Amino acid sequence: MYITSPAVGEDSSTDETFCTATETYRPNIYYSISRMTYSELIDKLSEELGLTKTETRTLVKTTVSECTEQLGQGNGFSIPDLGTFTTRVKEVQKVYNPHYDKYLLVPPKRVVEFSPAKSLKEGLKFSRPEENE
Amino acid sequence: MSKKITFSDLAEEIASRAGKEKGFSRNFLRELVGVIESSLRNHGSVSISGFGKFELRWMDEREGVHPQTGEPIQIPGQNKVVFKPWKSLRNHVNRPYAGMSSQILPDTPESGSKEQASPQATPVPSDAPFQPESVAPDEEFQSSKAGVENDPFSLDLSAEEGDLFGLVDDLQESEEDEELVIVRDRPPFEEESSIPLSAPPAEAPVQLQSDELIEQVERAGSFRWSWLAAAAVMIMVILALYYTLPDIQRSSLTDTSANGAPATVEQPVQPAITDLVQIDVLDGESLWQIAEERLGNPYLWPWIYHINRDRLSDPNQIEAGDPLLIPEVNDDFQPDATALAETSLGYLDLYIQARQEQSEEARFFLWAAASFNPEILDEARDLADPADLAFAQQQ
Repeated sequence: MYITSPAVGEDSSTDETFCTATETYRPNIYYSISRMTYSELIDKLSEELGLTKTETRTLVKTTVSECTEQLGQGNGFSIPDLGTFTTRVKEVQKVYNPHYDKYLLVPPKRVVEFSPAKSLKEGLKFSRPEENE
Repeated sequence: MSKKITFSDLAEEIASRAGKEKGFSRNFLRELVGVIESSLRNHGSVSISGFGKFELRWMDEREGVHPQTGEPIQIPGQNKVVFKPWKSLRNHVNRPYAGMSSQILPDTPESGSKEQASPQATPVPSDAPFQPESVAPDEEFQSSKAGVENDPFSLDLSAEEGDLFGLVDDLQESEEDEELVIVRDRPPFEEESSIPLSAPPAEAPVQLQSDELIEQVERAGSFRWSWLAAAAVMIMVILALYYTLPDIQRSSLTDTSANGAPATVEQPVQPAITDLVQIDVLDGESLWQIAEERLGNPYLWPWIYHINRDRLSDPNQIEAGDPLLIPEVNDDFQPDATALAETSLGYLDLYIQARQEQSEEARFFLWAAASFNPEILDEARDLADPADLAFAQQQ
């Protein structure tokens, strides 16, 4: 379930401050979930670029599919001020599963790895998102 | 093995795909990075649909060792930027190794620490925890299945409005109707099988090569009458339902003289107020994400669940390739009264389901339903637990 009890059970005195973050309708039960959703990202980006939302959405989709394709071919790339995306192959592992008291052979796997750019890392090192809202 | 492409190559690729020049896509990427950075700063997390989620994770202060001098130092608490790829990206990247599953090695770990702890007990715990565990999921499965099977019945228990009852009735009959059509369509295929047909007819001749074929054809002839009769009865029943339903609804709705509510109660029967579009679920998508992308607001996901509840047994488990009906909205859609009421009905569905499963969280669904549309509590008075109702009203 998407709703967890701690998010619901607390007092709803801070919901006004939470709702000021965006203009989209957001019921007070979600006030404690602080996250930037995809549509908010599109809103913001289209504002910055001066494009319509549909254009921005297609642009983001193109970017995402291009990046996915490159990563699928095993190519890494780096985006300035964001970080580097690479792929890595995890070799076969032998792990112990205490539940079944057995050893398992875990197959090899190719995974995406992201290492943030130094400027991003340093800039966000001590930021407190809950205070900035 | 792991090649790297430069940023300008990437920008060029994107530009050629989008039909723009290179400078534009460079600029776009720079803006995208800026937005990601600022929203990480302000919200702590950004998700990009289909790609992944960037998140700030707070690492507490810890002790470390200076790498050069070897003396212990305190590392202060700080944020870490993590990227969690979406399931679709993970699957795409892992394609060369897809379809491999982990293998259980036959030997139990004799040399492990377990042996030292209790040498004689090793065979017993290897069996003992296995047995109850293998039974428990089955029981859970059965009970959940029973819950699903109970669902329609409890719905018509709870349906004093009559529309739900009618819906269930209708559904069952239409299912029967489909079965009839499927069974009786085969033999006519047989008679015309001189035309080369694709897979399903090709299977049929194998089964019906002997005298059974004649029997089947005869039976088909005799069945056709019953089929016609059944169809006629069906049409009459549907017509009767069609004319009686609005009356029942009107009578039930006169009690709750709410302005937004009447439209929403009719919605499940004929969802024609907003246009619906059919989409296919993509790999790794959830109702939350679909709502975010299509409706512009992820918090409206129960709306989609409410529309599709006949084919979704569990809102948390939708499968790739499933058809879903979603409301068609324009680009800058702001939730109106209908949308909110629909979402609240979706939460009411979830509440009913959660109460059948005796879930502790059931009352929160009722509360969520009320927070979208306070008037729903009046309608839910009959089917809700008094304690839950009190909880929902309190908030």
